[in-house]
Amino acid sequence: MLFNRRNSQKNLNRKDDFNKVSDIRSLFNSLSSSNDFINHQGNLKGIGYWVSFYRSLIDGQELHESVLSVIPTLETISLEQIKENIPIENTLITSTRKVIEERIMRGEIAIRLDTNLDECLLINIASKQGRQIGKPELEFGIISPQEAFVEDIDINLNLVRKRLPIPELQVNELTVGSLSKTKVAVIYIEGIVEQENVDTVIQRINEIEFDEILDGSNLAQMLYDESNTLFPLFLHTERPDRIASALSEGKVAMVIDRSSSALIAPTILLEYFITMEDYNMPWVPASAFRLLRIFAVIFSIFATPLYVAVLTFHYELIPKDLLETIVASRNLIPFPPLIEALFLEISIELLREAAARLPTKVGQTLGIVGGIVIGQAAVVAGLTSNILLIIVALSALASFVTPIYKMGNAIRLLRFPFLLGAQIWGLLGIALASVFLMTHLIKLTSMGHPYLEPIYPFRIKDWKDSFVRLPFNFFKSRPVNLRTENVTRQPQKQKTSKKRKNDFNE
Amino acid sequence: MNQAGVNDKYKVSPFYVFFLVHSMQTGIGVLSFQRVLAKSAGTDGWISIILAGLIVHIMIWIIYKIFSIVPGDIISANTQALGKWLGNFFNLLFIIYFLILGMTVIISYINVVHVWMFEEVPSWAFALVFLILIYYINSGGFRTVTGVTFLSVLLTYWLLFDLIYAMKYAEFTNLLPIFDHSILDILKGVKDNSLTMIGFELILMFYPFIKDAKTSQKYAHGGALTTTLLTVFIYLVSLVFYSQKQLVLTIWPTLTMTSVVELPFIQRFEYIEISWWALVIIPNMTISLWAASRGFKRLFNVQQKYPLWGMSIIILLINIFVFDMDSLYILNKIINPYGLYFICLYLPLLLLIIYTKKLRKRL
Amino acid sequence: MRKVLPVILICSLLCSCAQQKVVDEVNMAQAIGYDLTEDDMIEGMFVIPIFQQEKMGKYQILSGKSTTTSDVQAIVSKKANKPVLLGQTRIVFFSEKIVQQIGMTELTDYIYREPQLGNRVILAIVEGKVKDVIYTKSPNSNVNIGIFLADLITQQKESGNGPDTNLHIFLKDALADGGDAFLPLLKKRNNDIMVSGVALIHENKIVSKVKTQDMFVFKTLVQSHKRGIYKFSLKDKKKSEIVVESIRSGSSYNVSNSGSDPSITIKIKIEGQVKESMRSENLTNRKMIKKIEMAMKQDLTREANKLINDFQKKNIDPIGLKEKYHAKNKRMTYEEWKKIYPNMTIKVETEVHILQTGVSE
Repeated sequence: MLFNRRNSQKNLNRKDDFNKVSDIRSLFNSLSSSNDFINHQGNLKGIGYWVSFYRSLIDGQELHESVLSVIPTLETISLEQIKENIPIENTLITSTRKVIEERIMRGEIAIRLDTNLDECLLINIASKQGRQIGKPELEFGIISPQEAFVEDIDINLNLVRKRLPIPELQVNELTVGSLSKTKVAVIYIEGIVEQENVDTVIQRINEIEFDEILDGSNLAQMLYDESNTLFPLFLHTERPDRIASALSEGKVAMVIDRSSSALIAPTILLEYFITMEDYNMPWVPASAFRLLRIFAVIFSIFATPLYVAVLTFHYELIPKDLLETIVASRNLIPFPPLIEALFLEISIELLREAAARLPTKVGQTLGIVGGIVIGQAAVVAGLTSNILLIIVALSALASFVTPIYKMGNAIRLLRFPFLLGAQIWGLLGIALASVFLMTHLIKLTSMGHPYLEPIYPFRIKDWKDSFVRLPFNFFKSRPVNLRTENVTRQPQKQKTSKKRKNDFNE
Repeated sequence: MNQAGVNDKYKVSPFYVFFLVHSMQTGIGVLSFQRVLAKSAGTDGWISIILAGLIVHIMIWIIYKIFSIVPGDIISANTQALGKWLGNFFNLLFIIYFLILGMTVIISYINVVHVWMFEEVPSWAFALVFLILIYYINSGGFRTVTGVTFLSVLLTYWLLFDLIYAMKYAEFTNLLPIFDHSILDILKGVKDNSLTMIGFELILMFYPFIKDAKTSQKYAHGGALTTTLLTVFIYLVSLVFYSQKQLVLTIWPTLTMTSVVELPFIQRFEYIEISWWALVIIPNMTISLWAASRGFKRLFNVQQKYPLWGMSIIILLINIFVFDMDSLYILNKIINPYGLYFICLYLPLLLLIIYTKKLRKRL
Repeated sequence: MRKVLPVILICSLLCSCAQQKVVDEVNMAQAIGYDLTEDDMIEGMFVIPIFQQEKMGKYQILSGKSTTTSDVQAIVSKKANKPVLLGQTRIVFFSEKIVQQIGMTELTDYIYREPQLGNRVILAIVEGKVKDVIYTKSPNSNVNIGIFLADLITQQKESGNGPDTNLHIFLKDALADGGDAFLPLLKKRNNDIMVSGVALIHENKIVSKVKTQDMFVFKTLVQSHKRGIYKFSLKDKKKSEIVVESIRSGSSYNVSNSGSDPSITIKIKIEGQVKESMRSENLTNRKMIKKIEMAMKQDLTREANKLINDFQKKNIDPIGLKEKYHAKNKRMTYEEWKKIYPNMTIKVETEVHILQTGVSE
């Protein structure tokens, strides 16, 4: 279907080339049928001129100041003359329908003279309405820059370029989406990045056949190596500093117009547990917090399934001092542990989903009310045990520690197959589910690079920035995984500023 | 020219040979080898283990020698050495051997799970899940198989702590007397120890999948050495932990040993160990079935998934129709002496044939 | 087919769920007692806690009679609303009578065979009827009688004179040639249950007992330990009692290798502190301490000799001298051992070090 439509459009275009003359006029006629398309007619020294534009796309003030007020001051009127005198760059005189249409749709105005209605002067005064650069919401950091991407590709590129003011930073702009015409900028640093990665990204973007690309994560899913996975394969970020650091490691970034987030590829699993703050802290706390995050994720996946497994099958495991507490709290509950756990898990997911859909203020209240009241009521009513309530609440909390929201989603959902395994074969079920997960992770690739690196394939050099973040003097080389052209990160130079010594090591 | 030629993209680093060999050798055998060994060699069992380890090293050396003359895998080596018909007969024998090896591991593990945890779950249900898992791993190619093996070794070494915990009950006089048994007993011990030795022969199949395969020999030896040391360690701990008669009575000494472990938050540890053991067992099954199906693929030029399906169905049917204790008895009878004899006698012979052929060509 | 296959697989897997043992839907026995009835049947008693919120230590005791230990469990399950399972068992009691009548190996066969039961289960012999012990109300109302007694024995072995004991240690000894093992003895006196010594088992049957006052020596001979209390009297001008608490103690064995005249030297080494001295002399005085050390040494040697001579007379070997002898003499068989053991020279050498004398003079 899609294919056919494209073809017919192509045919149409080809036909247009033959009778261009009537074509420009018909274009403007058809555009005029929309009520927000303005055809302003003016007259200067006897020559009529038309200014045509979409009211909703241009900046009115700019139009008055730079165009409409300039024209009457001209001595003679011709498109060239106007072009010369208008203080706006990147104007164009053309009579190609396709170009005119595209430019008008991007917020340019077309000026035609009555003498030749088939030739247009295109001036860009598109309105730049949009959000101001704000604080990062999803990846907030306490001791890191407080800038986040907005929905405008130029501002976003500006944010990246400001951080990497070097000519090697290359931007390759592509357009995808037959309806949305989304601009995608592929960014990389030449001389560092492996060219094959860039080529793959560009090739995959060009191969996309879809009418509407609305957001970065939307695009990312079409670029994935494997679509049947819970895990995000491209890192989705709203922090320009993360993009800058990824680029300098030798990765490829993609900034998407009208999307407040950018994509990084290729990525590895452990990257999703890294915050930019880790680099702004001394390495010991940074490593400790990173380990805490990884532990939290493991806890979040396994806690509830382990509860179900132990209480359903392996009562032998419970220490005698805990036995009383656990069994007594479960005494009045009419359901098996699985139902109990599912009930709580689903109600927590509900709360989370509802809180995400509601305005912030209401959402907060709902979270607290829902969490405390429903949980407590469920315990009192004898639907769940309070021990499970603690476990589920903790694991929900733990799933939020991942800095990348999408990874949090994956972890939320991963719990359910494990629950099923626990219900069928207890601990063995959990073990088998883990092997399935392990295999899946081993099989995953991001842009053809193994996802589980540096664990498998085992690369000791890349461990410096994985589970822990070692001091920066270990950061001598870029990740082996990325096969960068330029491997060294630090010039091997003798440092002149000596660190202070004391009498002990003199 | 070389049929066994494998695309460089699918190859793994030579260093993983260590994990492949080590993991393949330490499987289900580690749970139960002490009992039989104690019966035949008693306190001198560790000598048998070391002797067995030596044999493994010689065999690994032979394997690498064979492949230094005829690079490829055992399938091509067999046909080159013995001609088409006889070679293919032995190829078939190897495929069957790998299949039986995988089957033994699966059924043994199911038996352990039956006895210790879920006596009422039918074997086929376990077998089905394992086979799906094996298929899933195998469908990722040899790289994934290696990955699972590698991670499983890394993730299971912490289980050694329960051996150290068991040392709390150690009585070191149990190690004495040394050299209490005749050489015949010790040699019998070597044979009884075979389940913890075999596994190295899988190199015969995955050799072409290793980058710079020749350099991987030291890793193969390293893997075998680690297995030997680990086995000796486990055996010594079992000796000091149990008294002789008790060791002979206990079917899975390693598991029974873990039942003395008590942690503040876990009362009984063996259930965790058995479940975790799945992680050790799965690479075992996967590699053997991978090897069997790969051999089949090389022999009959079909896609690997078809023989894998076929073998899975065979294993499933056996699990449905034969009680696991019975099939285990038969399989152990085959694998234990004959499998070992087959490998240990055939490989030197093969090397000899290949070597003489090479010499004759040169003359 | 491709779409139906996963559905069939999932359905068949869901049907093969393992049998559930949800914690609140089973009766978890925490202690088991085996007694012999008048008509030579085994009577099993299971202490099963009843868990209720805000009411701790409630329990019920279910009992049943049968001819085998495992069958008792089945009989008892018939009387209960939930199946009786053994996975949480801490302690198993046997009456003296049942051991003499049936034998330990037969009684422990089920316990060792059953994977539900761990190897850390404590076995104890009850002097008198198990029933009397199990039906006693535990003095601490927070725990049931089973846990109470298990804690009692554990506490005794950790900080008292009780030797380390559990199913594994027992079987290790009992399954060897001769089957010389030991188990703690419990006795009900008035309304209290207390440790009343150690039962010595030889070839399946109880053959002797170690009295409470000899338990320190016995514990030192059997294992090295970090706690234990020894009371003895110091006799010079006047008789007075001294109590010493062991800090590090243990014994080592030296086997002479000569075939004709086998002998074993046992070296007992005690490092301890004076806990109490019923004499108002200055204990910081080195001389006095030397005196105490000497007196304790003599006392210990005498006690140990007495104990070992008693063992030799009865031809039992709970200390495990046989293994130590075998380690040096490969060719020894059990028959030979039985012949040499009663007449073997066993020397005891004792070494006592008093390390501390407490905070007062």
